[in-house]
Amino acid sequence: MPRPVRKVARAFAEALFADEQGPPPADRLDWLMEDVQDFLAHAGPRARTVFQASMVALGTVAPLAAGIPKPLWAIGWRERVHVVEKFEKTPLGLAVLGAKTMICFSWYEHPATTAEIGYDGLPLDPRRDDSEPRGGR
Amino acid sequence: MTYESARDLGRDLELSCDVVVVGSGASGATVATELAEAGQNVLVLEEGARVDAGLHGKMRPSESLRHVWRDGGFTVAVGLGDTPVINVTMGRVVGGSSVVTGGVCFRTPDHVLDGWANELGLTEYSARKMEPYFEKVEKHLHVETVTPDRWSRSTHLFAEGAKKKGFRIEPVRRNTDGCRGHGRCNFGCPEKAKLSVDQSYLPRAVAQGATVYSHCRVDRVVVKGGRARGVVGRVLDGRNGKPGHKLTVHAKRVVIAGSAWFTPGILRRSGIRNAVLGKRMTLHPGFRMMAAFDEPVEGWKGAMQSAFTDAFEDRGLTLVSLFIPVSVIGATMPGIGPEHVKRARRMRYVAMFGGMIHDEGGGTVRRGPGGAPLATYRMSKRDRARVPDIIRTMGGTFLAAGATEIFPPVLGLDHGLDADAFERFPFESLPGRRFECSSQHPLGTARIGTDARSSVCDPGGRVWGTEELYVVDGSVLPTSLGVNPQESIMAVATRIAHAMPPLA
Repeated sequence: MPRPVRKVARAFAEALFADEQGPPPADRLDWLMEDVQDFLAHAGPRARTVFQASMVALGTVAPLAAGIPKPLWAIGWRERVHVVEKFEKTPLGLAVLGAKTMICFSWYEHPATTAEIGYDGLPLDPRRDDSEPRGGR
Repeated sequence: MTYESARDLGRDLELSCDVVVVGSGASGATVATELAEAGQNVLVLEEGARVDAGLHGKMRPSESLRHVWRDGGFTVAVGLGDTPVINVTMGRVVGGSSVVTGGVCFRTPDHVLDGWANELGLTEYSARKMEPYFEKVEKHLHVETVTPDRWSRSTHLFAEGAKKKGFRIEPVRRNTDGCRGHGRCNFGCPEKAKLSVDQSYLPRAVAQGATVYSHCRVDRVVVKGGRARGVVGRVLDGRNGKPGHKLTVHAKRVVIAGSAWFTPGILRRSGIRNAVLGKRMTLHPGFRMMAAFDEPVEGWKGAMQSAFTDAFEDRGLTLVSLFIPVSVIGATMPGIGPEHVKRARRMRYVAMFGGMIHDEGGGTVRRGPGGAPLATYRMSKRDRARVPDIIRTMGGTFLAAGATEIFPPVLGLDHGLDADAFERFPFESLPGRRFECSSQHPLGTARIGTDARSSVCDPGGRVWGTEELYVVDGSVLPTSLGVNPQESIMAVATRIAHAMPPLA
């Protein structure tokens, strides 16, 4: 992932996953960026194009559309939230979906996040011994 | 014979066989198995890798997306006019899209088959004549009913709403054996309980002498003197899996099973000229509806797809239960920042259902940049009017079940909707680009028919005007089905394989 794209991606993730206390811890964001990088390395040119185009739109067009002549990473996280929310409602809002989708894929698989949302990974029927998979031919 | 990774051979690949099958998904695996069991020497070529079924459970969903799905799940059909962009998901792996489906198995509805027979003249495809092919596929796939004890709470809640609204939810059937309800079938079953064709059909083909080569991209069919003689392409053994060594296969018969998305391109590059090739693609445009309840739902516990209703068939709508991994739910949760986080932390309380439109076929697959397929889709007026209908139907059902907040598939919403807001929301006047739409069912781009001017293949799947060149994938289906197509594709492929004349 080119450095400018990574910078916007991290700024976007900080805003997207910020709660009332502020952006998530830096180590979680580091893990996220590494995983997104791996995703893009393997997912093929179309996924990379979608992601990079989304980042260009979010990094430069979104702030301008909100009347802020600065790149997304150069503004505070609360303002970033408003900029992205506003941009999502424009005809270019699909860029937010593209970026949000790829970043959320990884974010919500981090063990700390799955614990926060209460995902335990257990099946409906936990009775059978996991070491004895059935099915398969 | 066996499975071979062409990427690991490190050289040009030149092979000979009776029949080369291009694509290892639902249709390719079916035909390869039928022909191998009939004693023919069969080669199967697959662009993707072979992923051992035991590895699926070790992958996170996003790892499956990057290693098993095409384009990491970011393939789209560009919406024309007032049509949403449609995310079309496909597998790129040995076993094809059968590895990334929910495993839902419907027979083609009788009224659809009888329409093919009576209105399109495809008399061999009547419901009565197709019966033995469905039976055969169901036996080999181990198609079984998903009883309500395997339904997630999410599905039960929708069923409760349906009862209050006066319609019924029925169990679907799926190709599973030993499902415990991990709720992640489309990212590969962690217990090998979903019997996708890499587990159910291809091992039978291999046992009868077929060889499956992965990492092989076919560019075109070699046609000489009006007869298919084999295929050429590239082994994907270059840097980062790019095309590298040459691939040449000499064959007496060529069977294309590349999907409705890729088959038109292969045929065009092979010199096939036909006015309807790549046109009239149907997609079954699909929409998901999420709803929050006061009780914990944990919709991921249960079969990912388990129930459906055809109560709205007269309005062109089929509703099928659905649950998606938390990472994907997170991506579709409205809002940015604290609003998004607040809702995401309540994912345990979210239920979900899906619905698709039995569409008219407004899609076209063209040659795009670099030769990759470029698909566009223009919804007919009739189908476009069905979008708000399907959203209101699903949302209204969840509200009847007691949902407190509805999350419709609308882009740019920064909040959920309560019952009043849902009622007032202007779905009918919203531009198409605001809807979040997906499809798993591209069909019909090289359809069979009785007239070479309006179809690409004859009723036996042979490309008009070219000897020994067959198409067997979803592109041959002449109309939209209105139901998940895996079993239909496999039954039609079985029928085509059985009707093929003896090899010269």
